[in-house]
Amino acid sequence: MEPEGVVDVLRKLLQALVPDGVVVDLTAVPPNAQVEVDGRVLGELDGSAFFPRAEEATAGLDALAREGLLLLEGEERFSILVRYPTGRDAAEDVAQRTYTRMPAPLARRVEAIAGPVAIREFSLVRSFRMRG
Amino acid sequence: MTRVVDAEGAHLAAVLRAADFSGRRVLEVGSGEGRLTWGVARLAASVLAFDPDAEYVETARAECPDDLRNKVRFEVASADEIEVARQSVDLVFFSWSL
Repeated sequence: MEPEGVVDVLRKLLQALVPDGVVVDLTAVPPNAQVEVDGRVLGELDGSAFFPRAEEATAGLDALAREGLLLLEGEERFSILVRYPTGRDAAEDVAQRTYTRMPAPLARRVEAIAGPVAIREFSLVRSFRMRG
Repeated sequence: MTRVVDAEGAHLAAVLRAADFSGRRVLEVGSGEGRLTWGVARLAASVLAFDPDAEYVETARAECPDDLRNKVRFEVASADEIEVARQSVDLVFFSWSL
């Protein structure tokens, strides 16, 4: 979707809000997700095709804030873990994703891990107030 | 394949720190399989949740806890297809790309 299209969609959705209503936006953000074993970082996924898509909505809300429709009230960056029983499970899950990939050399290492593997993903949550 | 997403509950905790969902009528855009919806719905007055993936929505409907069924509704729609009455919700929760 074009940036203008995202803004139009957001503007339409925000019509559902009461005056002074609240918007909470949760999205994935860079840096790239990390593959971890026992808390040690083994390597990074390639999110270069993914993040531009996630950033479209973020940029759309920023545009509405610049316009004065929304007021940013807070933001927090944090990370979460996706846990897998084996490295092969992790590699297979990432292989099914459309916009994120595991580089081949890393995939070979991860697939060889018989024990638990985790992928750490980074997120941003922001809250806005609709200007009444 | 077995995977456990955010067993620590960091996503939900951050969302609940970001805003007060108590007693709010919530519109959720991008609800997926409902992982965050349940936590939000426990506080909210109601949650109208949309996701473009019909399989996710089916899973969310099937796995909805019994005590939340009267205040959560899942529908299949992408963000640009959602139709909601003007000024009918107190909080819009976007959970894109998760």
